[in-house]
Amino acid sequence: MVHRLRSLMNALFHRDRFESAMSDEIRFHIDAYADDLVRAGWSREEAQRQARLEFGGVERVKEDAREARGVRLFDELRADVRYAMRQLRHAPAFTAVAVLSLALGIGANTAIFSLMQSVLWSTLPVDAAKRLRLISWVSGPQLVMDSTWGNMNPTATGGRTSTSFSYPVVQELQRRDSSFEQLFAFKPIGRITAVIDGQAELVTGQLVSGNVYEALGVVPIAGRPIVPADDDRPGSGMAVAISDAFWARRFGRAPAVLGRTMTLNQVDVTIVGVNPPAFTGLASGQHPDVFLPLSAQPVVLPWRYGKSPSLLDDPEYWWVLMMGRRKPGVDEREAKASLDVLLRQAVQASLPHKAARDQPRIQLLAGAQGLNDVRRAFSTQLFVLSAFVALVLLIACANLANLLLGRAVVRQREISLRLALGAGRGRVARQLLTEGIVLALLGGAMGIVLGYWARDSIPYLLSTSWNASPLQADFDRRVLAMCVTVTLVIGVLFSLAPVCQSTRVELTESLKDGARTTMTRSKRLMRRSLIVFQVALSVLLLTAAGLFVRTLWNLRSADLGFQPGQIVLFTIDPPRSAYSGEARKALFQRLEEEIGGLPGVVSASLSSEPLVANSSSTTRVAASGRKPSQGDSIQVWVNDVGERFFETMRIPILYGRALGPRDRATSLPVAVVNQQFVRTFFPGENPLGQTFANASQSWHIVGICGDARYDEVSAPVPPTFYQPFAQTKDLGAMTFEVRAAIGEAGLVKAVREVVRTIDKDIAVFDVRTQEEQIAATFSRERLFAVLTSAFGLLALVLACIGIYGVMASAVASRIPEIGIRMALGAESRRVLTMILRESAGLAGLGAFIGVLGAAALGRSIEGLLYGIRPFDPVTVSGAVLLMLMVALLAAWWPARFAATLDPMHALRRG
Amino acid sequence: MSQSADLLPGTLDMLISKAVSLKPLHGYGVLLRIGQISGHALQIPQGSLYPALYRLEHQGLIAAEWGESDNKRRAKYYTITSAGRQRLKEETASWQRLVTAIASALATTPDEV
Repeated sequence: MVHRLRSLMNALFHRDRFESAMSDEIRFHIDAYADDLVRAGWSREEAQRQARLEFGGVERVKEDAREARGVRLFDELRADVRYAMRQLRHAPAFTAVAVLSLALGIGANTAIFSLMQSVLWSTLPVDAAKRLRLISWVSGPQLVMDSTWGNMNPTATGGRTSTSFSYPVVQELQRRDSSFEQLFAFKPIGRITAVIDGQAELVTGQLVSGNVYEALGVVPIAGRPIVPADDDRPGSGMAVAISDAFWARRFGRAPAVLGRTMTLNQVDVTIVGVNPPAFTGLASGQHPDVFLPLSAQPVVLPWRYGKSPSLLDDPEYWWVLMMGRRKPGVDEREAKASLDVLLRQAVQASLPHKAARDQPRIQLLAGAQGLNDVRRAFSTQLFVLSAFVALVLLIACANLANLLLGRAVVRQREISLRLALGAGRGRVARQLLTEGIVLALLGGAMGIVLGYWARDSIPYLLSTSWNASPLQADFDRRVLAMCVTVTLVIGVLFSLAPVCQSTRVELTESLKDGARTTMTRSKRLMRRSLIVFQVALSVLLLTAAGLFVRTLWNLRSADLGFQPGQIVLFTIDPPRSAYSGEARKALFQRLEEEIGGLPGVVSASLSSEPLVANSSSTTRVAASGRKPSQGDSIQVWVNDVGERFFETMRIPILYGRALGPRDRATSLPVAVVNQQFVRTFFPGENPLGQTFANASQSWHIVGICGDARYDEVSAPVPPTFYQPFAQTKDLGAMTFEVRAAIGEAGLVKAVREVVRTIDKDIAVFDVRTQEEQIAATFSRERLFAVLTSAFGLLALVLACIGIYGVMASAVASRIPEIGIRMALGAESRRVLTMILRESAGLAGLGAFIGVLGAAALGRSIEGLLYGIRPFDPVTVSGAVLLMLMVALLAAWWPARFAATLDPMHALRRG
Repeated sequence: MSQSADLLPGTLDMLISKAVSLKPLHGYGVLLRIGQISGHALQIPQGSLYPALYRLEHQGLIAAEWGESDNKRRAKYYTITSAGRQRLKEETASWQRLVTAIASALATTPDEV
């Protein structure tokens, strides 16, 4: 086999050499024979002639020899392709429509598939990623730990599951486990302040245990990795690694970066290594700039609520993520069981007084993608989108099939002629197949290029000016292979139908002089069914797109309870080492005052949670100053705000007063509550002057404000209270809200100036308008509305092309009939309506099927909608109406052509 | 020339293999050698010689190399490969079986039935 392949390849790739050798050999043969004849007494001339004669046709022999070598097949294929190209060039309109349909269909699929590849299937760039496990636990509702940091999800049985562990437990498991090659730990820590060369900026960080690099086999492209020894030596001067992207962005890939120091949250650190570009940490959708040893937590992220700043020795606080690569010989169940035993012992040892609580049990999750929150957030959307683009591709394929069928009719005579001249049916079929594949390949190639160009535009729709997109598109070999496969399958499948039709032609019939190129009944029915199919799918897609657009619209036009216009937001998080406790509050108060006094500023305030930013603080309270027991407390939402918060946000104060300068740290703790809060705790009472309390303090109600959205638009306004930040125990980052009559750019410049004069190490970040902030919370819905509308329109255009093609050829084949009708006195208007009615009939049937489909499938997208039912009559009728209009429009030109036919001319053509 | 027989289908490859197994030969030489070893009883149609040579070479049963002919001209010489020799052995054996079987069938007299 190998030998044959090599000999074929030699013949193909050294074609000239192969050919000339063959000629030489045959010439030698003839000459040698002639020499023998001369020796036998022939004259030289006669001998040559005789030798040639006996040898036979040289070309024939060569051709047979080529076939013996397998070369001939390729020669024919090349001829087929050349012929196919010529055919396609001769029908530019047909080619353009077919190729463009396919290109758009395949392009859309490429773009979505490359997203799915990155979100759902891409793995960490390490060896044996399949054996990596993310360790998680499940527990009943009575949790052993007091606090967690990280995601925590309810289980079906009312328990909880999480991937966070306390550091003491992690260390114990690392020390004693034997079923994993190495257990390693990490923690994404979000943004921290870095000062490089005296310039403050925000970088994203990830804490990693000292053995992460060794365990994963990640080798830095420069310098050295973080090693276990780094993890033992926390504090000043500790080693950090940086990402390749950060190296490029901040240091211009200067080799001198190794050994440089910078400060992270006021702690001096030394850069010891640069990660390879492919390694972007252990949490997907995040691209940390800086990797620090886990032991950096107490100094870089000192914990402000606990007794000590360190979480490392706190058994109550569960926050570290753990992964490991299962040893090849150990099976999944054994690994889980042995780790389970170790976890139970570790929990008992570190939390001995919690034996009565529900003990957590180990669950092993796939770790090939690391920690993947993006997957959970987007997988439904991506699957819906992939269904969408698959349907678009189907519509495009229907177009292709339709066009090929149409062409088969036109070429019936040509094909009959070729069959009559002795071409084998197989040969003709191969020719048609080649044409289909060439067409598909042209469309596919264009589609792949289109998808490649568009791959970044979808993630871009999700990015904001202050946050990178959580999605990324991977255009890799797998995506390419998928696209090429789809293209080839389409090419073969859709050229087969016309092949079957064409090679079964009755020769004598179709070659008869004057034989009309007509369609058989079955062929016409097939083309019509394709139209109905296209219209049905288009209506389905348009309906879905309509629902998503209305969802976005409902979100945008929802009543917020405050006025977001003209408000600019930015966040300030002063380093905690320099600003804590009262000093921090004083700084915020000074900033509030100075920024409020800037020229052009109407009013300025700040809050611990920006409004409608998908983040919230909650606590459980009970009314009337009673200390709440587990039973009678209710979860409420809380925000720490500045004095002029209500004025700045334009949230109306309905009764009582807003918060003001008299509410100081030392005065009576007060709160302004919203109407929902009143409805929840004081129905039918006057809440002013009443108190409520949580486990640690109580508040005095001084005012009632209107209901305003808190963390998101799509949820009802929760019971909320606002307390003055001056009276809160401790503050984190604060977001400023500035209502200004001047433009954003000028305002931000002035604000930065104010901040810099106070302290140059304080960064002003996440600058955005309140409106941008709100829009960002429905970026997923917007992405959806935009993409589905685009694909819906694409479907519409493709269906339109299909209808036009079928109606045009229907009219063309009916020219004589129409001529007779007109000669017999049919008015041109009647001819026009006849054609239009036919088209409307097909479209109507398709639309009906599409509506049935929409009714059946609406359920599956219910979770993605807001403020609209999955089967919305208005949206459905809109989609149907649009489709019918487009169908009539597409049929208008052929109908017009038929109506203006000259009867004499038409009859003569028949 | 003595009486010549038509070649049975499928036997050409066998004869070519046999011819080049005796000594490396060029195409024309193969023709002469088959004539010689068959006592000029077999006529090879010249047109089918080269396709057969190319087919055998493609299958790896014979190998080709350029060399110099007796009268100092460049010629392509074919030799048998070990795979070809093996195949020749098998084909020879099965041919013998066939010939014996057919001969015994044809030699049968009515009494023997």
